[in-house]
Amino acid sequence: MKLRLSAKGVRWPWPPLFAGLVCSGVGFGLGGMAWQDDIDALQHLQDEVPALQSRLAASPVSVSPNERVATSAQPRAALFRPDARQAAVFWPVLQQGLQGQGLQLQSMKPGPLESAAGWPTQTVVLDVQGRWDDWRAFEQQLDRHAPWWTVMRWQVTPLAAGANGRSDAGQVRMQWHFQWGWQPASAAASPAPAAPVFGPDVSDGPAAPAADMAVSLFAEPGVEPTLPAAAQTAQTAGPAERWPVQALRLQGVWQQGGVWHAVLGRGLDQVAVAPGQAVGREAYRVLRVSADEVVLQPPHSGQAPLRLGWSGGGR
Amino acid sequence: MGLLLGLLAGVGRGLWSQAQLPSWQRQHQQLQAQQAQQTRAMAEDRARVQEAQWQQKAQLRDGEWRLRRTQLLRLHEVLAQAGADLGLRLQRWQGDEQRLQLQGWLPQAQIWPQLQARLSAAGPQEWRLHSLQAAPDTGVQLVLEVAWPAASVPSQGTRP
Repeated sequence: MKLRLSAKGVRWPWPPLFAGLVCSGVGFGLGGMAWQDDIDALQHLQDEVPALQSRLAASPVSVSPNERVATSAQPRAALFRPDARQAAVFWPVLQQGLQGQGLQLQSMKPGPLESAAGWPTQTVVLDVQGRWDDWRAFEQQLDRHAPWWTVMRWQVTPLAAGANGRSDAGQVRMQWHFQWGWQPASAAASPAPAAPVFGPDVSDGPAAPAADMAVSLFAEPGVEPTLPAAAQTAQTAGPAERWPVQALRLQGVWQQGGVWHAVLGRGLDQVAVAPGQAVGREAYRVLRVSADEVVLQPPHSGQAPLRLGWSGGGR
Repeated sequence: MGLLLGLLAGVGRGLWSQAQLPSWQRQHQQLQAQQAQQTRAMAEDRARVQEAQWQQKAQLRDGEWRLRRTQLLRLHEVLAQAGADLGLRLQRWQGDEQRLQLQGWLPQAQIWPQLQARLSAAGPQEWRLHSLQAAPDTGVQLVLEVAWPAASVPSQGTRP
């Protein structure tokens, strides 16, 4: 586009209306320059505010009602227990509890803190010696005063004979693998609760076993108690008699009054048999019982005797 | 003339923007505060829900642990009673996450079903005679066992 120069001066190539619009636009820009920051800020806010309003309107006010129900149904008090920070303090308390009950702690091996579903757990292996009744009293206290544990595995055996060849009557050696569940430290907003104090409650009554249970469960065999009449007359006879003999397994043998007896069974069904007795659905008859096998006579002559041994199954 | 009108309009717009700005700023701040509060409330609610879910799992586990403890204490009571009135003597009493097993001695063979019945009544399931043999001097040696599956532990998770 070219400006025309003439003797009358500069001549615009555009119509006057267009030139007016351009001028007013330039004027508008120049006029607003002093408030440009305010204009920009307002423009920004005019974009931002509706966006915020729509975001607020769209987002849920809170968690779903179902989740709320789950939240409100959990009383925290029901899970009261020491938190993981107290684990180190708890083991000496446990040790004192054992010793207070007259048990000898041979070793105590706490494992590392682990997490089960976000809750800290810890295993501890206890090697203990002492009287079985004392252990029972201790485990009852433990269940009452510190019920945050479960037993993973254990083994209890009579204490081996001492150097003089005489076993310590009723003394046992025990190994217990416990698992303890602690309160997460982050969940315990309140101060950590005090460690439990072991000891018999006043309301517990005597901790010692009742007089009729004073015989140690782990003592040497040989002392025959006076059996109640029901025990003397107990017989075993059950559904095992309805099984085919091939399905029966030898589960036990013993000698009584010079006569061998055997226990035959399948799963939980068992029957005690002696020579001459009928057994099984086919009415086999017990020919002989020995320390190794039971020999059964088939109901029909001509068939070979059936032998049930420890390995299971007839042959 | 156009330039003048433009200038006037520009100035007018600037002044109008300046006047409007405070009320928009106030509204914006309120909305921002509201949003922050809502975000915080949501986070707290989520944390509470997670906490409740963890507690629910912990309670479930506690229940299973309590059941196992109760069963164990009951079995010990039954064994003590059997020691006193049936003459049971134990040579080994053990358990793991699969089964419980006791190896013992009875003065007479015919009383093992009684012991078995008492143990089965105490739980956790029906006890099974594993073996029974004549003891060297008198009585019988027997092994009884029962399945004792481990308590189910809730699936692993992490706390924030």
